[in-house]
Amino acid sequence: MAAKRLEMSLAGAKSGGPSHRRGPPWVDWMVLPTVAVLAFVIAYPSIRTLILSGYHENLLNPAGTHPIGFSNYGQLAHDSVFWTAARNTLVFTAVSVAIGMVLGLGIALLLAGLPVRPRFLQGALLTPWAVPVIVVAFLFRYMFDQQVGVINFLLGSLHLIGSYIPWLASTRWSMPAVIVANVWSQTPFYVLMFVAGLKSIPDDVREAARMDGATGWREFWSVTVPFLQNTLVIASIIMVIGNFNNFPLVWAMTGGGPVYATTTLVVYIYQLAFSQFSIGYASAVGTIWLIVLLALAVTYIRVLQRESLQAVAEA
Amino acid sequence: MRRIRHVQPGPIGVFIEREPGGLKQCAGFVRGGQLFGIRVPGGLQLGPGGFGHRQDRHHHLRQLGRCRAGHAAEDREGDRRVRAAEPNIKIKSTPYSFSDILHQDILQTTAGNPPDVSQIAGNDTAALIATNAIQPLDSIAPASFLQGIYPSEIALGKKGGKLYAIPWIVAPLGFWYNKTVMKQAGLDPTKPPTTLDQWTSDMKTIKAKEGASGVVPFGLDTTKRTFGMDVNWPIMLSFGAHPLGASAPDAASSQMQTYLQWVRTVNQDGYTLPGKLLGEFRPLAAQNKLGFAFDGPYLQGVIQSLNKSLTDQQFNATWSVTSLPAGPDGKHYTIPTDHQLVMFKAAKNKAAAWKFMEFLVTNKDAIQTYTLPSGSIPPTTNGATEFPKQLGTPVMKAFISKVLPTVVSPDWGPLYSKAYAPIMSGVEEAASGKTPIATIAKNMQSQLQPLYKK
Repeated sequence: MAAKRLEMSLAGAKSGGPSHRRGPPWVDWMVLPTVAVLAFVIAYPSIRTLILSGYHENLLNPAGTHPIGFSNYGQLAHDSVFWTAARNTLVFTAVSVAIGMVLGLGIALLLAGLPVRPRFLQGALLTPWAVPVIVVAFLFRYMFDQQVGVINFLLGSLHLIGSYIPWLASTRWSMPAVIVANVWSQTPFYVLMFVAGLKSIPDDVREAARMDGATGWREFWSVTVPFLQNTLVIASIIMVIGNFNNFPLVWAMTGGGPVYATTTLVVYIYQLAFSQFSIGYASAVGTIWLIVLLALAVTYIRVLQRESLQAVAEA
Repeated sequence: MRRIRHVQPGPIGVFIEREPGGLKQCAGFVRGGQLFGIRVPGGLQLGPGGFGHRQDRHHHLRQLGRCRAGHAAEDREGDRRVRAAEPNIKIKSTPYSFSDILHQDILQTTAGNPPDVSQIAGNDTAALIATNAIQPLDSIAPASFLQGIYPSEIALGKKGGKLYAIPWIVAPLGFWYNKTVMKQAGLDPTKPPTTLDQWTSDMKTIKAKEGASGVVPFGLDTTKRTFGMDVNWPIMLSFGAHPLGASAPDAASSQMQTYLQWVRTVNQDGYTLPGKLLGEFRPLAAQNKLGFAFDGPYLQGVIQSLNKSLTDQQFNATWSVTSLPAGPDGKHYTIPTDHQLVMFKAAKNKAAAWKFMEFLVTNKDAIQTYTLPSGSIPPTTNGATEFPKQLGTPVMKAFISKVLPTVVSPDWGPLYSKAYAPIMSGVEEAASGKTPIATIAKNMQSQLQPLYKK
């Protein structure tokens, strides 16, 4: 029976749709208004950006607009700021996701281990996620202020630093400072995902593992991690995509500086388009950024589809 | 948010609404971030034939919120006087922050919906003129108007021999020195530094004697924005550095490297706080924790709004202003942070728009309501006689006699709009990094070169 169902699901997946209709055919056409709106707000800007990327266009010199083919992409290949921004984006995303995930899992495990779990505790832990990102940015901007920030005060009081650090004005410390703010803001999302994931681990599996002598780390690696694998993958892909687009935090905290130490791709695109008004070149950078995000989104969708098929097979 | 904290007048938004029977205009302006408009009945015939036909299209400008806490009663009186002077003026304004002025003007122009009149400043003026969207004013501004304005201010609004912008608020950057801080550091408060070397030495002394108590010798803005470059431009000139040559960049010169080394010394020896905006030093000035500042005449108003117990007498006993210390060439330099008014070519009612612009610049009530309260200097040549009380203070006298004559205009324009990023990145690197100065200058030069080819 399960094999039959799996075979039907696979057949449906290969044909690109369900293997049976659930309603009259005209129901499918009711998605057209949504598709039209999506086409207008997503497809048109994307296509327009692609077209603009083939032009030399600067809004400060509208008369100088002319097509230049792929020259913007050629310029991009030799643009050291672009590659710096790309590297910064990777560092910002990878470190934020990694630390957030580890912290989120740790907090989720602690919560799961509590004999009594007060509701207010979970709510309190989710609060950073509920705070608007722009507020988080200004909050940490003041916390990291060299003169009056609480972080320098605390570190100085504990004699961990000899003199106050100019966190946001330092090419060395500005990115770590931005990452700290980002992790603080995003860790609750992981907590939420992992708490739900931990609840899905069957008790009999845990009991069986304990009867076999697996406790502590052994139980964690042999039972918990395999069951949380899917949650880990899905949560990380979602947050990677989210962090790729994270503009307000970086912009409000450092403006992409000092120098280009915290300039990510999205910040660079903003500077090109709205500070320098180089719309054509900004569109080229934006197109590359879009391609990377599309690749991530396709990966996410494929992982989801694989999980869906596995769930059907196990049923 | 941080830009709105700057106590600087911003752009004025103007909606000119046409109604049957003539033209109605009303003055609206923003105070403390809130927008309100004043409706005044009546019609106004402007120019031959007037404007009898009806149009529903609105033209608008944008205005930045003013921070005049504690002056509500004076502002209300100013409003009343404005309405009395121009009963048929109806204006609707939209606030934008200082740093978003050009951005918003460009976007609206590109979208085909530019305002009639816009207040604008610095490089934004030159950049906006380059878009060819701004109306030349040579045939609109009468000779009688031009004769009553400082010639140097008229020159700032000219490009290619044509007048595009008229001055509204004159506010050059002056070299402020805190006499109390200097005295406490053992320096002679009556003798501010007049050369770069003296200035650096004085900063070192203040840091050594008063650094432990939180006093910052100087507020240097090295942020990566056009205004950051504006602030550093006169200092670069003092060192003999001129990174934007006429036909090629000159960022790798020995003078530029000397300037970058000075920036590194000032930042890394603790004479300033790195990465701060100009406005972020003003609270320190209000707390008597700043030795020197390079700021506009509005600094007095800012400090007194932050420190409400500070009287004019106490302020003048603490702060004085003079010209920026000179470099090897012995010359003093400064830049204007003036705000100007421009008219867009798309303005349907140019005569009315000009009338409003002229009103803001020359009308006594308008000057008393907008210009003087912001601590700025009116561009009219008879300002000192018309407003002896406001312009006769020690600070204003110093600005007029010592600072204004040293004003030079940076190389504002489209190239400046692109060049600020590599130049100020280099300045930031010099301020906070360890890269050798020669390498920074070389990198700056190589990043500027492609900009000249476009």
